[in-house]
Amino acid sequence: MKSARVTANLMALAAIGAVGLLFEFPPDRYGFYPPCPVYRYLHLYCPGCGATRALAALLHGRLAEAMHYNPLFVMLLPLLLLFAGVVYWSAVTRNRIEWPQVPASWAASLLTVMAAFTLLRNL
Amino acid sequence: MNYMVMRDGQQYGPYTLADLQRYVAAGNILVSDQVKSEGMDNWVPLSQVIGNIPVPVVPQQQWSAPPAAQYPPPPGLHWGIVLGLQIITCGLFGWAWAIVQAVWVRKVEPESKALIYIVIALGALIGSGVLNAGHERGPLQGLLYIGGVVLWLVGAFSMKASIEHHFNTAEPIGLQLSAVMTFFFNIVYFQYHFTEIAQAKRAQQLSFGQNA
Repeated sequence: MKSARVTANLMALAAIGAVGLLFEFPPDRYGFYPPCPVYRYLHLYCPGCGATRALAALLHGRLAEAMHYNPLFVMLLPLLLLFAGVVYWSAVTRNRIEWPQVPASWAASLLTVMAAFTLLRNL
Repeated sequence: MNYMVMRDGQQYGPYTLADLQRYVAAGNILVSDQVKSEGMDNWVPLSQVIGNIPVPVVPQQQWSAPPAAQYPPPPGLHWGIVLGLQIITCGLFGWAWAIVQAVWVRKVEPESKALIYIVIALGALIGSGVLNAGHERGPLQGLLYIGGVVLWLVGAFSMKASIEHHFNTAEPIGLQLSAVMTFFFNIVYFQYHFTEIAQAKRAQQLSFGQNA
């Protein structure tokens, strides 16, 4: 059985590899990234549409372009990084994966904002 | 007559009187928990219901820790966050979270095959996606996709069976999962129950820590 520390380090390496891939092969120039199935089959923008292109633009320091692709993702990214950092830190220091206790009201707010964002970007 | 049990605002059951007696003896239910049957208007402490029934004597060493602490709590990330991350990552987070859930199920039910099914399903779905991205759509890509979806569902129902088995034997809270909800919302649906169970277990452990 792998320890939480080893698992967390493997996941961190995989994440760094994925970010490196995105930096070297941005989706606006390379077409091998899978398209969003929601947009492909329903022709609707889901809340995640444009997130990959937004992340690639951020990696190249183009904030305005990233906001154009997916502003919700860009605004949530600091929280996502903080979340991942807390989980990684608990695994490395205590050798135990602990998921942050997020209040139910935060989860409800997130889902509400995502629903509103989806509605607005498809108007 | 069947009874519902309430602890920390969460309802469990229904249980028969014999079930309650057994769970009290095992330490899964406390005599201070509130119970109510169909014919009762108000919740009353369990001690008022089983007060006259002899409870089997349990050896002292079995009470050294709360029974819930014998098993790790399920992954306690709120289901709403799991759903949100799943949507914003186009399902990728859901795939990763399915492995997190299946690993936990394997810890508490070592004979569970759900993790194997889920991992093979993800391999098939990723293979199908790679072929699709390379514009190599053909019978192999279609076969991998259909096989992946079927194996994913087999994994989800295997996980459902293991979760129900665990929460009706080792940690008997009377959990029953819906087949329809498992089919359509598997990961998020499991997480909805895991969130509640993890919260209840944390509360129970905190309570035990304060009493110890």
